[in-house]
Amino acid sequence: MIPKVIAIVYLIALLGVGFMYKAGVKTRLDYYVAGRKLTPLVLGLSFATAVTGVWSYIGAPGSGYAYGVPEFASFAAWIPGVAIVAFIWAPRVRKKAAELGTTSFTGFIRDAHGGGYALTALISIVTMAAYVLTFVAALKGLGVMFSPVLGVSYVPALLICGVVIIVYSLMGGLRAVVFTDIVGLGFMCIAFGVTVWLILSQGGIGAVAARINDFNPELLHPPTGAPYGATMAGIWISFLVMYVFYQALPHYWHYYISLGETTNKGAAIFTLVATASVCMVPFFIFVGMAGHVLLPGVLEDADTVMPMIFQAYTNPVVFGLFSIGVFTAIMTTFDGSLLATTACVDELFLPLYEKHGQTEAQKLRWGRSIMVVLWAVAVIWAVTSPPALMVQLLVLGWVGLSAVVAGPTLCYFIKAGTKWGAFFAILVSLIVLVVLSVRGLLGWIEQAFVALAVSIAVYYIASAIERKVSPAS
Amino acid sequence: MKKSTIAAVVIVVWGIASVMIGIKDPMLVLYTGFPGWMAATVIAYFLCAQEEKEEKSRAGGKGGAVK
Repeated sequence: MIPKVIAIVYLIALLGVGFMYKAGVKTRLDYYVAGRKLTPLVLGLSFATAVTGVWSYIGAPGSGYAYGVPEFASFAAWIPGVAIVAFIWAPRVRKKAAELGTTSFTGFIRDAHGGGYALTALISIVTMAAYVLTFVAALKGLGVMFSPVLGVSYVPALLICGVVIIVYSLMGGLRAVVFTDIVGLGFMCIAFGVTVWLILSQGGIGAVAARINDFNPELLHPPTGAPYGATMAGIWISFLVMYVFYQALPHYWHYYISLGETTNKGAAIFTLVATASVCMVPFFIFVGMAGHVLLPGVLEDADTVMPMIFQAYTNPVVFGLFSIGVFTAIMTTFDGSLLATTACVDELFLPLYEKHGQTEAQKLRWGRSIMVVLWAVAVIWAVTSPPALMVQLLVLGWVGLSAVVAGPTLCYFIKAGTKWGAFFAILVSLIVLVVLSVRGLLGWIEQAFVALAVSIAVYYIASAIERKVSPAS
Repeated sequence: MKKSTIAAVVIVVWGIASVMIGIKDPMLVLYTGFPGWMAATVIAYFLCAQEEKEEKSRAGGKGGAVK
């Protein structure tokens, strides 16, 4: 009963957030990028929650349960990537986006490269294809997790949570998304406190590690870096390189273009708050590994290890707060990426808006309509498919996407390429990634690593060819 | 050397150190990750804040001289 009450109050509060910010949304700039006025502190808090989100609560502990310590590499490699973004890339992306007047990831790449509709279409479609899977996974997660909390079956639970998210996102745009992300970080801190208490109550890290080692020594000392790669050293280095480029994901990029004026001090604040939240994740992974000794039997779905542990070891109030934390984690992943994807897809229709002389208010309405359509497609898919969490596939899909767009995004700031360089970098690396995945060649992180190298190489080679053929490019 | 550059060096050095620790023994990140990263980023914050303060007071001083 207590978790149900907490959940209902929280869902109503979210709708209130949407109403609160509705009046401030008058243009596409307000809606998509909050008028480009986010402060580094606010952005850092929101980015941290969006970055860690569903992965921290569900995916990372699940991976710890299934594979053991290799998941630690993903945490440790993430932070240097965050610091590089804060100090080097986010201020540059922000400045360039303001110069170009762009409000989306697609618009940024197109305008920065002087690209045309082919580039717009490719980026928008690739982004949409990658993120629709995210939406479906998030909605399924919400349905599965909230069905027992709300005391209803899977479909009504999914619909209740989905409707709340789309309503506040439609009303408040990025401001509502960011505000709800920051609230989510509060719940993550509660989960972290409970996690530390749980480890201490079981005798501390050493005692729990000894029990895990007795159960299965390979969880702490795996012979390979499975499922990510061939060796442990290989995955630590691959993750370190990959996560520098991972920060170019469309919905992260969307945060950078929404940033207001910033300084080195702002970058340091951004890094500090983002790092603080990412640092909680290893403890969640460790508790995930400890699931083997804390829970009876073997879990069918490794992603359920954290909820099961919290349900077994905490009281109903704490479990209720944890459930809300899971909801906010999934929600922060969903709402931010839904908004960023909508902004990208909206770019496909800009020529039509211009052709038919649409006003700013009409363009905003069309943007909101696109968001509803994307949401509806995901809801129908999630309702008709069997429920499963797919969290790890979701995160790995993002790693692949960030690798594919590496050339025209972060490499643009090292040496800018041309529009066909950007186009072919995305297209060729996408084909390489799909072939590697379908044929099952290399580990997951290594596949992305190859796609990353292809994207960068093709970006510069195709750009050089285009400049040779057409020196005006 | 600018203080913000020193801040970046602190983060990079700890970043490399933390990955090397992870390669040696992943379990050590549970002990070193949180305190190490918090210390590195707090130091970076204070160095950047100090640099910004100095730049502001320098700019203020120059303004006074012009007047």
